[in-house]
Amino acid sequence: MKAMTPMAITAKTIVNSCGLGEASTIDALRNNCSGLKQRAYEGLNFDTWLGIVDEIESIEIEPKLARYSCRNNLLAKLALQTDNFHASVESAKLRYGVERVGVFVGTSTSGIAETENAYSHMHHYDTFPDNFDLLHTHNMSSLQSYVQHSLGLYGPGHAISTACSSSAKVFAAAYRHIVSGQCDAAIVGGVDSLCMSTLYGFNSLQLVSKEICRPFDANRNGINIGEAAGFILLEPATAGHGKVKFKGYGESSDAYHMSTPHPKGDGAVIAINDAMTRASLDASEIEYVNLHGTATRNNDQAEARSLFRVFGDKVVCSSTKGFTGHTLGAAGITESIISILALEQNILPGNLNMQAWDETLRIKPLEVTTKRSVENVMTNNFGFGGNNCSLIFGW
Amino acid sequence: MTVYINDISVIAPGLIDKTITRSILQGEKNWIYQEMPKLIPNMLPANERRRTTPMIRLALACIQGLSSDYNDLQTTSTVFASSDGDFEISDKICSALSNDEKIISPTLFHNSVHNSAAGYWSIASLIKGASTSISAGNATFMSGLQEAVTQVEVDGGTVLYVAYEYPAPSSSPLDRYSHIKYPLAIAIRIGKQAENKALGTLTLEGPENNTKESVCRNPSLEPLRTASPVGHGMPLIVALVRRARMQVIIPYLRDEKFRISISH
Repeated sequence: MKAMTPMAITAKTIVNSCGLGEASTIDALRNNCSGLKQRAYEGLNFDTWLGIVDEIESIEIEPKLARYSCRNNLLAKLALQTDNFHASVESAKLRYGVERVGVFVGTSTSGIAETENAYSHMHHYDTFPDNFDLLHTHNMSSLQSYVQHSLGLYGPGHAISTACSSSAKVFAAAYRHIVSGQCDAAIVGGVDSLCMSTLYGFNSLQLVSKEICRPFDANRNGINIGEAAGFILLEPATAGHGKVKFKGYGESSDAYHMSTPHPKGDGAVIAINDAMTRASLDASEIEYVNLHGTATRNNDQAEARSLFRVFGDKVVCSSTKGFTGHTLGAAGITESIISILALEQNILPGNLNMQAWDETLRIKPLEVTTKRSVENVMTNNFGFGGNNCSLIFGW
Repeated sequence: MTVYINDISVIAPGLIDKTITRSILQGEKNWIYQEMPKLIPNMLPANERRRTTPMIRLALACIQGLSSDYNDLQTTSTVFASSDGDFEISDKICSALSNDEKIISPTLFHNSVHNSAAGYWSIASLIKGASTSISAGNATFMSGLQEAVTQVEVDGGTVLYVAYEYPAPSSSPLDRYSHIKYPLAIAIRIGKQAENKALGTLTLEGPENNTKESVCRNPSLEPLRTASPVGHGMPLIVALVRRARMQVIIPYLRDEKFRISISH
């Protein structure tokens, strides 16, 4: 396995239930303040906490791209128009040309909420709504196509949909396309929005908590689902002198079970080690790990075992799902950006909502957000189908 | 980017038996639509096999058509590509959610991920390498092939590329909106080194505008080529089976195309 050529993070935008833009997420992290709320959501018939982005209700898709209109692409638009991201993309277009900037995005459910609504419409009126557009909303490629059109980019790209690792893997795909000369820079990102399929689906597996989610807590009992979007402009490091860099990726499969992680974290260990090999770093040089930490019994146990095998029990880590909820296909980009903010802001996020640490896990996360300046951090994301991805960011 | 094509497999209605498939692809026989038999993914343990859907079985059966001598399970990566994923699952979940009870079964939910076929394949093969599952609408076949070739180019090793589409059930309202007419799966094993039975090399060039996409040399295969985004890969498969030294043009994003040069 070859060492990676680091890529610079030259612009980024993040939207989740903590608020719009970097500043809101930084405030939430600094103040140990969750975006999750116990609230009703139309169509939901059980109690849980949700990470909702209310601002979605107040925006509209550009008229010329109206056929892409769905909650997921609205959330994408919200992120694209935040944190001056558009201006950075315009500058990249001038420097590289519109054909030389790729778009690689991850989503687990795309605009399936439109199809859910169409079936509900049919249930009442015997027909689908007139404006139903399967390809431009429900289809997994809808997000990639919308982002490319909205930003006016004509480079390579595709949508990755590997459940909860989707928008972590976009970094690897974009990197490979850049180093093989197929583009000069890339937009990477991910969006997942609330929909009934995932809410009722995770509930069928008894993985949704009625309470606020408590990763790594002895009494943890499941996830809270949140919606989120994030995008990053990734460029060769020479163009982003002094910026945080994307340094390593590791991708693996558990080859074990569709919805339960390998109990000893075998697949996760491969991803973690491969990311360190590509970054030319060893375990002692990873100063913080942003955990997948979903707060299900199985995930946290398997992940803790994998971390213990690589780092021992002294690893500094936390799950930030107590802030944002589990943002599923957007978890990779959300937690990558949180990891980058940790490097830039000299803070290590706390593991919000953990009341009684589960000692059997042996890995103890940081309880509250702590001031510390570090060089290299890792973020882990694991998805259904046993799909694992670890990423390393650093100075 | 140049890589070796070490093995290929294709499955569709009327392309089930390997000998018959070969003669159709070589232009000796015409393709005619035939009902798909029930495909059985033998490599899966029975408890997992029971949970699979026709789309998952199509993808797995297609990979089963490849020789299965993998030297190193850890460094074999997989790229799965499907524009539309599993309509049967979307239909069942959205139907269930439109009822008051809104009951989804755990199996239905874990089969709903776009990487379902990849997940089952890893369980069957015990391959722990990297695995991605992508969608790029009408460009799905070419985008998946581009990603697979790029992985070989950058990360080395062997990449198993599997592209597949399955129509919506005729009873589903989604059938009216879907552009997929026939099931089709194509599997290609590529690598930087030639294996014993290598079919040749493939070089990707592009994307370019103002070129016309290739058609199938055997015109009877045209309905299959135009039946789904994965159908765009048929001229490549035909060229590889015919062992012709030639170029095929395959649609990519927007109106762009990739030029693929094949040598033997």
